[in-house]
Amino acid sequence: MSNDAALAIDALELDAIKESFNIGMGRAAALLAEILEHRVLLQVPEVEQITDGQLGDRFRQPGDISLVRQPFSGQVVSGEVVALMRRDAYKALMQTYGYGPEERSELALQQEVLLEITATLAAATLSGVAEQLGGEIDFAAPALVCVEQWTSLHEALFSGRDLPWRQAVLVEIGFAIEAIDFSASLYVFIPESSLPALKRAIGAMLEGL
Amino acid sequence: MVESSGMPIVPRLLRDMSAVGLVAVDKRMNVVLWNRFMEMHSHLSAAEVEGRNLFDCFPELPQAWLEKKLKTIMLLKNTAYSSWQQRPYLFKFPNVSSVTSEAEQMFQDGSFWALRDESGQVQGACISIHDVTEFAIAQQLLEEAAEQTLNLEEISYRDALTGLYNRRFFDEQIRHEMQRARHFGWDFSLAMVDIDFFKKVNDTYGHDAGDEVLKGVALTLLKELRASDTLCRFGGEEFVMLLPKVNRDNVQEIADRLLDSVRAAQVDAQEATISVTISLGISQYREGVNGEQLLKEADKALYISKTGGRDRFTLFDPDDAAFQ
Repeated sequence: MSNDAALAIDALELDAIKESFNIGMGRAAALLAEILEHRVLLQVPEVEQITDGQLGDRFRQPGDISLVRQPFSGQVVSGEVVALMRRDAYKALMQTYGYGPEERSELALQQEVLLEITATLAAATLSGVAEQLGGEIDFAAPALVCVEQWTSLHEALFSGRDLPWRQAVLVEIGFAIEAIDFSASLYVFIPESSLPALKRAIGAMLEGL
Repeated sequence: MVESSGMPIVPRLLRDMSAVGLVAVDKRMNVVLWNRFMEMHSHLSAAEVEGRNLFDCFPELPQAWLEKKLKTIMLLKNTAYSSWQQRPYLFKFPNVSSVTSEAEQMFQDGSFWALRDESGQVQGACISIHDVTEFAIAQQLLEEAAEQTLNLEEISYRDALTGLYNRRFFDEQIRHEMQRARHFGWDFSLAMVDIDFFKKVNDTYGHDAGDEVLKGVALTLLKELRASDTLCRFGGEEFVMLLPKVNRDNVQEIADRLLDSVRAAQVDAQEATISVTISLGISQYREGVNGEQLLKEADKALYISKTGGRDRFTLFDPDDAAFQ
């Protein structure tokens, strides 16, 4: 279908996206170290194009995990970020985010700190990427995704929903702060409605090189 | 101090906005904007707040957390949020619907973004406060209702067919009645009721007719009982009733009345009019007797009613060898 062809991302474009993330993340590491008060290790981002049919296999793992999702939008790139953390990840973060000792046992605030870290990681990473692509982005409010221990990531995120997309660019970034034993995976979904703008931005960027 | 140049009407608009709270602080956390909404709900004017440190004005603010949040957005230049679901409010303001609503505090959603000057340099931070009290209360009511529905399904005390209390309720109720009887020295009778030849009703008229008979008997018994009595469907065609403050003498009057009423009642079931009789076995609370024992005694008495010809009642007598 011609429509699908317009959405297809070729190898050159995938490389360009990867490069934008690489550069954006170099900047993110410095910002994150300042905010989180520790050195933050960032994995080289993995970029792939996926279809909705591949989600089940891609996100099969069940988990004792916490999930937070946060939408972002801008002229060149829009989509949704999903952060995956250990269920007890809040423990490592509460002091850093200024929660007092008595606040650290409150469930609502344990949840809040997961929203905080997701917003921090997403903003640090994606604003650099958007800048590379010649635009700005901003974020809507993050929200917790309810995950039962026996459901897979795929079920928690997508099942039972008629997704408004068939294709998406997926970028996976790993974060780790060894000093406080914290790690997270950030999945950046850029769905098909956002791909034409992304392709135009990449085209413009490649031309400028 | 942050100045907005060019269109003085814009800051004026924001300042006058009373539907959304707007607060701006500089990098040292001194307040540079305190709009109408904030004035109204804090009862502090802009003149009283602007120029002062935010945390000096509002010591109850979660300072460490909020400073971290504001510093983060000044570095990342993103928009950040806080939700009433995790943090009911940022500024402790009274709920404006204090007349018609039970919430004392205003529930708030907040958003946070960097305040930049013309050249894009970050000069401070902005906070917007949205009053979401109505929404939060509605949401909480919904959640409570959902919880209650779950509870009702889980611990239903009603028998679906007759609408009478079920055995589960009986088990709890008899404990309460025994406690009251012990505590106040009350009499207390327990009666087991069984519909005579109920199997024959089912076999002759069908199970739907049998169900109608069960409902009809339940209704007839209920009409004869007091509000303080408890009638439960025990299972099958068996009922049990708890009769507080009823002693050995007046329970016989009650039993006679019940027998008469059921005998006289006619149940319209399918295309037939059915009459049935019942048998009763009755026991009385005595000191040192537990609920289980009372049930057993009533059951023994019921057995004697059945073998003695049905359509009658029998009082359990602990001294009578016939019940041993």
